Amino acid sequence: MRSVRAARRKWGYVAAAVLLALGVAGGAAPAAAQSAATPEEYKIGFTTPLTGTNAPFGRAFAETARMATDDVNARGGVDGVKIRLIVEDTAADPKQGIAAFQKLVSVDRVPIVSSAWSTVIMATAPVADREKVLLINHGANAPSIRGAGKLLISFFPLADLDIKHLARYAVTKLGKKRGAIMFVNNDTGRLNAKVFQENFEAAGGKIVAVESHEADAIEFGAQAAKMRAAQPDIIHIPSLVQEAPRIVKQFREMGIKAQFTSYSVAESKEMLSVAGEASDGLLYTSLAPPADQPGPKAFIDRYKATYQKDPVATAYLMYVWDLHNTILPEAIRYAKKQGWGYSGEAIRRAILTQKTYDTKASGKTVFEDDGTVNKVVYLKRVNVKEKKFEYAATLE
Amino acid sequence: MGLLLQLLFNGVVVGAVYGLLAVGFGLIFTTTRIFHFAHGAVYTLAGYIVYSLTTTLGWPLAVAIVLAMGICGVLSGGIEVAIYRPLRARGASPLVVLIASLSILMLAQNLLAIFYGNEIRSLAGAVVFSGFEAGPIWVTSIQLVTIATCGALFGLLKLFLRYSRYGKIIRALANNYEAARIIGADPDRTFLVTFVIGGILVVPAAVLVGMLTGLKPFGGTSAVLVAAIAVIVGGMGSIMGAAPGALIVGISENLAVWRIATEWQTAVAFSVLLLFIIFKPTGFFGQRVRKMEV
Repeated sequence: MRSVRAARRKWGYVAAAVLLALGVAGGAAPAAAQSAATPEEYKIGFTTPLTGTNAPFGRAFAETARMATDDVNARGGVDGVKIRLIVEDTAADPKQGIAAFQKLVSVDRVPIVSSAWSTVIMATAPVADREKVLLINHGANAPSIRGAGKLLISFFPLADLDIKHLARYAVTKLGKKRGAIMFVNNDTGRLNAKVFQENFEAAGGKIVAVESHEADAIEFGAQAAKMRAAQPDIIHIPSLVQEAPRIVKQFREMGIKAQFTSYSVAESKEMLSVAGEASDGLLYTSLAPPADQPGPKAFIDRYKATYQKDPVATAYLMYVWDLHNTILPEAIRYAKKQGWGYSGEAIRRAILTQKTYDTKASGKTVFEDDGTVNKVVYLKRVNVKEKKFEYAATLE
Repeated sequence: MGLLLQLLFNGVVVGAVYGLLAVGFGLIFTTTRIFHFAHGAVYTLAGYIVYSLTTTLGWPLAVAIVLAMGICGVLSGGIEVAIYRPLRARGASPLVVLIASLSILMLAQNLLAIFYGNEIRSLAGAVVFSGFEAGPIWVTSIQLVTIATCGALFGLLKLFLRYSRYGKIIRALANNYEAARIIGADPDRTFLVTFVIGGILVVPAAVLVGMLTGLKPFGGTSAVLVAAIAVIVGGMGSIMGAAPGALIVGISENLAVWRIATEWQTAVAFSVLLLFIIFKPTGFFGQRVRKMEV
């Protein structure tokens, strides 16, 4: 089954390349293809890692987008026109991300592509501008995403929003003075670390150690030894969903007693199943309300009922759900009502004009004029004894 | 100074695990002259066998390890009998055998990724290993188990090679293939024994890595690469030289970050090893080699 899919994808890329070579796709902008009149269906592209180490999360993202789209269509679509979601694999790799994007634009002729992973977004944004396709980020948080593309909208808050609040909270409220950072060596990790360091020191703290690791690493003994020697009283870990629990565990095993902090990646079942008691008390920023509130709870129950399993990286899934279940259908409807048609530029304009959305799962959304989003930042805590991620504070 | 000692100790622990893998790889290479990259496939599979038996079926760890040793011994021996031996019989060059071995590694890892997914699996579950301060360094219980296990297995292998019948034949074939054949050594049977021993030795290495860090379907590639480097550092032609070679690799990786950021760890460690190979190509315990076919 997988090989058949892979073969189809491969032929899809080949077809895209042929179309591009013939100038067919280049001559007729894909956005224009659907902009003139109401199309038979609203096509939306979705790129996510379906292979590689990030695949478990990418698959959950795709499942959520599919569930949200099915829900919209079950309600009658957008004024009777169904939405069609087309999913392609990025493997969380920029090159493959561009190939997936090109296939969606050239072969499927979608005017909107929803995507995540900072490196993929950064690489795809210039291509999206060239193709006049709206690229919407539903999960990447590198601050450099701001301004990376004229047609780029970031529905997921960038790290300089929540990490800025977290670093200041660590000094002023938690009373931590000796900070350390252990980041994943990619755009997200580096920029997250930079924002934390700048704000921690601006608030009066001192960063005493900064270490990094490569994505996919599983052994952190050397970093643990250096952290232990530096004696920080708080360690910020902007890492990845699979790596962060292993860092937490190996650091505790090395006798490090410092407070751990992280961001949304900490809220995964792996944190409990891998790091166990080592993760108890870890504080992390979350850009989605606590799971026991009505909006998030409805989403989680729906996901469990649909797929018969617990969601992974739930906070991210809430953003995917809200984007595909609320924002995009409403923006498409608004653009149609205004007579703007269905193109990347029209939908971007609709989103920034509407500005505010009542997104139930991730909480109220307010878009800024620069295409980024403003959301309330929640501080959550890992509670191992009760096996839950609990609300700790609201960071204003 | 405390950090230096801690990194040194961590390096010894990592090097000990590398050593288990490297000694099996070295034993096979020294005896058969096959660069057995499929060793990484057996190693990766060993971890997943133990993972399945303990987490899926709920078997006790000790039983799972013993069964995995049996399976991996048979599998490793099976690779020799079903792949390498027919290739030798058809006069295949060492390069062809090397490609075949690499193919097995890639095939096995991809199959594991299909069946288990790319997620990292841990044999320790959510257990956080306890530790204690020993002077300036922090020692964990799993690190002590690692050193004790590796030390015991190295000792057993050394005794086997020195006193057992097959151990003596293996050393004879490794030392002088033609002379050993003249006095009656059976290469095919001896090769089979070395592959089986190599296959058994990867199991404790895979279990310890699965406990210390985690299992990945493609973890075998880097592991067997480190094993090959350890054999070169230890000295080609020396069966047990891979053990100190692996220790040097492990310690280099850790000490490399003493004064610089850890992102340079791999680059610095391999630069040191490259310099080592340039200035001492025969390794620590190897014989001077005039011509080596790969």
